[in-house]
Amino acid sequence: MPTARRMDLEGGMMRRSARKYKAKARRLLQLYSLWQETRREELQQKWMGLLGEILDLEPEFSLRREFQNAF
Amino acid sequence: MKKKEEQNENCLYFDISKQERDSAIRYLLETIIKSRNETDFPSNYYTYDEDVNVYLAHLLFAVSLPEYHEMAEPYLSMDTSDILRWVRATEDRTIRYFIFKVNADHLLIHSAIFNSLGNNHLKKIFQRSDRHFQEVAKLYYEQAAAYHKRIYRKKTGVGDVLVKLAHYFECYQGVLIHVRRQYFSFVNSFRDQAFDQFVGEIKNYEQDIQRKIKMDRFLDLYGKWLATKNPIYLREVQEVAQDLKQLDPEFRFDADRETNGFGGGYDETKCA
Repeated sequence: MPTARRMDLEGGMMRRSARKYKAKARRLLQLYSLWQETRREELQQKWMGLLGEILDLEPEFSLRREFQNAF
Repeated sequence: MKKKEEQNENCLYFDISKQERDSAIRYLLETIIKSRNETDFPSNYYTYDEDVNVYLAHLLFAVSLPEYHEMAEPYLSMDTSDILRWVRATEDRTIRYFIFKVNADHLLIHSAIFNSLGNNHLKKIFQRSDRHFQEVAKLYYEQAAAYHKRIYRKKTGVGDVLVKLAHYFECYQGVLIHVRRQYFSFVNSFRDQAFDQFVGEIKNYEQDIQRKIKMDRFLDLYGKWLATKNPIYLREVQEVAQDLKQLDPEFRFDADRETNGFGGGYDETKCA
């Protein structure tokens, strides 16, 4: 299933303890924020990589809430 | 690079376009005007006050953003003595104005939208009445207006709005109470905007990667077809061209030209 679709479906769901992924998610948000400002390609590669790491570790981890709190 | 990233740790940036911002404020303004009509307090009822509608729309929008809370938080207190102490501690009129204004706005928004003033059940005996908060908010707006006038030494639009908010506080509070439900529905959809945009970015990225992979495949097969004229390759080229067209509607490949012997039937400019 494409990552975007997965994110769509998983948005809003945070069923398991997410504490250990919070640090990675926070880093992802920082890189995404910086990428929004600069549009530098290497930053996009970095946040995409982190997203992959997070979803590999915990496929049900929801970033929606992280985004709602951060932005 | 690392320094820049560290600097941004506590200040996340989300690219809200001016258009999105304007559209959000326009929605809130329309909601306020509609609510005023529904609460029998239409615009310009006592005095010209369309400027207050605009002020309230901007205030509601600001309150939905985390940076507003970060900015206002250090100057907020429910205790009037704190406010007066902070005001006395500075000679700067702008800071005095800001302290009064931000606390008046806080009381207005929290009494009308969040209904969160005096919710401390443990201290019910000492709980302050709604009337108390209304009077304090009026006083703060009056003080903010006075300091604003002293700063600019002339009549200003914001100064006028603050005076009207002080005079007709209960009426505007009533309007915002009526706006409450629409406001929360706005905030919910608005707060999802950053995440929705994030999902959109991922979709775009995936589509871009897919398009690049397909284009490489297309060029590879097309090269083989040109070298061998093997119809199997042409069929595969056509299939990949169909996929490419779905990913990029501007992509062109003319299969008839290929079979009729007019080579170069794809648009090279789209292969970059």
